[in-house]
Amino acid sequence: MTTVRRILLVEDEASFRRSVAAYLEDSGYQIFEAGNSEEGLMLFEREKPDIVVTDLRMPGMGGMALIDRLRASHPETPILVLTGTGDQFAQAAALEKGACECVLKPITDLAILEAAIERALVAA
Amino acid sequence: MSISSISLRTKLLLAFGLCALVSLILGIVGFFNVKQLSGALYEVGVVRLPSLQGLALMDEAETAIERTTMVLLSGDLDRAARQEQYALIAEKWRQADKGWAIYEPLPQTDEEARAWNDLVPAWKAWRSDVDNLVERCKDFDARKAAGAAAASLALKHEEIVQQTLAGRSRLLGHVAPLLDKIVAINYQVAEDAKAQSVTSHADMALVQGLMLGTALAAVLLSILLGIAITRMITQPVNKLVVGLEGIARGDLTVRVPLFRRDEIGRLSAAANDMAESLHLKESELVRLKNYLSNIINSMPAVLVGIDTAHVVTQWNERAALSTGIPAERALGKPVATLLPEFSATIEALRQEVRSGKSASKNQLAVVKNGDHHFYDVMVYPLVANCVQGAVVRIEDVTERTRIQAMMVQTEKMMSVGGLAAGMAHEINNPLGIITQAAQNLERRVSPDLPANRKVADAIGLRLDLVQTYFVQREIDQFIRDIREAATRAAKIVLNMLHFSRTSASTRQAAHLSEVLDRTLELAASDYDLRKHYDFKNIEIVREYGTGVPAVLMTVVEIEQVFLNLIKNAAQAMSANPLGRGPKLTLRLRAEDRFAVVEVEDNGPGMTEAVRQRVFEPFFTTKGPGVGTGLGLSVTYMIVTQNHHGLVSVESVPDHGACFTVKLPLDLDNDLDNDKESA
Repeated sequence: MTTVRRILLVEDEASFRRSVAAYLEDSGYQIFEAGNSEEGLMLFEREKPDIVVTDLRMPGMGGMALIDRLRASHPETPILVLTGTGDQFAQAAALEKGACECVLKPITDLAILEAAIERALVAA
Repeated sequence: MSISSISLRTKLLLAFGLCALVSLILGIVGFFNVKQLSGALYEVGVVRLPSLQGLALMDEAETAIERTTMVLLSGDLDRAARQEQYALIAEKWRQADKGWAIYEPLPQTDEEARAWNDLVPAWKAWRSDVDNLVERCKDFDARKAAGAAAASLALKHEEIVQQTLAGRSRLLGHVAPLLDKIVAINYQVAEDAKAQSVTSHADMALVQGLMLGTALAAVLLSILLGIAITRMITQPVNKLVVGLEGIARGDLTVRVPLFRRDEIGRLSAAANDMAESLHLKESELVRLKNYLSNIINSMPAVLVGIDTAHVVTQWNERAALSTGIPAERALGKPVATLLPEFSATIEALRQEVRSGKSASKNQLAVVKNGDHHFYDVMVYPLVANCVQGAVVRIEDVTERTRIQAMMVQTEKMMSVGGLAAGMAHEINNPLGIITQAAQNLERRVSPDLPANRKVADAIGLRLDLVQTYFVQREIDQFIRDIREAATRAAKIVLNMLHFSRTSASTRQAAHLSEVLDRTLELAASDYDLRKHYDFKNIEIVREYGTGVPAVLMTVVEIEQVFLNLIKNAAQAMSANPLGRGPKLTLRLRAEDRFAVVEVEDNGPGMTEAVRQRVFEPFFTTKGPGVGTGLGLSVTYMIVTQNHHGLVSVESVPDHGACFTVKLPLDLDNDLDNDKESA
């Protein structure tokens, strides 16, 4: 792997975000962490990551709006969604808006997430 | 107006009136006829015959006297002969007097009476003439005898001749014509009477003929009248009586023939009306009785009437059906011997009922053939014919009790489901943090990761020793425990979410046999099943009925239902003693608009207490960590909520358990409802 893949992680709960980020860093990715959608958008403009991993339910602008904005401005960047198992309709809506995959919370094995990220990057 | 419409009374009055009129006419005719005849006979026999006799005597005497006087004129007679003539005259006078005496008192016609009145003085004058003549003759005789002179005798004779002639002229001038006239009148009257009697006699024959004819006619009329009255009264009355006797015997369909409009007709009509009304009332009664009997018999509950001695007086069809004892054998027997399992309850309730109020015991649990049944027993007082009795009503509420329990279950689970949906998101994040952090923990003490080695080298830490320490102090195991526990919790949340999910949109028609077979394959490859239970050793018996139609379902959900049941059975049978090989029987059949699937195992089964709670969320008999306690609850929710089906379980402890899933075959309505609510 010659270039380090850059991931923007948008998740409001810091502990959750930290554990995901730690795992992905350990796996060799560069992670940019955002605590909400506005921060995520700002980071995206500044860092131009290869992929975005975002939660759906967040205070302020939700994950859905973030997906809308990113798909409008940067349709080539793949977006992966992290969401609670109960939210079937939200999952479906996110996929419709252009998210490439949904990974269900809780992620009992982070290798699943990593595999999903790889799939999305290969597809992009 | 026909004959039959004239009233009987009028007919009888007319008939008897006719008879009376004929008799009256005949009587009057006969009366006058007889009166006439008898009058004529009386006139002839009683009046004219004696009259003529009397007149004949007078006439004969007159003739004889007249002749005698003429004899006396002749001078040839001697004294003795003359004496004889005098005696003859005297005798004839007596004869005439006799005739007079006969005639005079008899009734006379006016003309006759006038003639008689004329005759009487003439007759008396003539008699005096004759008497004078006889005196003169006697005087002459005396003179002659005394030898009187011939001259004086001749003078005397001349006197006698004069006298005789005077008398003769009086006789011929007055007496004789008057007498003849009277005789003639009498003859005439007698002739008239005779003629009358002849006419009357002739009339009499007619009257006799008439009377005979009338008598015959009367006889004939009487016979005809008798027959007519018989026909008019007796026959219909007999028919009426026969009909009424039939009615009296209870045959209310009998009707008196009705073809008259007189009193009998009205009586018959009234009898028919009465019979009809009775028949109607009786049919109404029979109908009512049948209706009541049907009501009692069609009650889906055992209804038993008992008297004060607890002897059965009423035993409905349901009672016969559920006990196998027909009513004819149950009546008159004590209720305790017929319903032994309820006798204690009935006895207790009967005591309460003495106050006049009904008493009941609900959901009485009775074990029958190893099955649990529930009954509502109600006893209520019944006063019939002044006999204090009671009615015992026993209703099998097993199904209702189970449905109630299930409804309670469903409500419980619905609330859990609602809770789960709200909680899932909140719980998932902390669970994610736990598992993810634990995974990072595991990974970051591993010497394999370059980043770990880099940091360890920088601070002079030997990662291999850290690893050894973790193993020796079992820290690695603790971390694995954390991960497993969190994973299990995540699974619970996932299962809980099924409660709030309906997925009608993904419904498709599928054959349950195919779903069952596919689920069996899934089960055989299921990691948990392979790991914990010897699934390959389970004997699988498929009893699929033919002709079970496809059922509209969400296939993945039904697969999950069957997988849960099969897993449950496999787990249960893993405790089977040696010698009882695990055996799983899958049955499929159609029944009452339902497709029925049975999953039966020969495991240890369950107690009634467990059986009642088996679908409750978080209820599990397995050791901690073995199951989530939600498998059967999810099964329940998928079947009842998402598919409008039924799920139940029967178990005989130590012999196994049988889960029954019923899915409706006609889901059209349900689908429509789902579409509307979707």
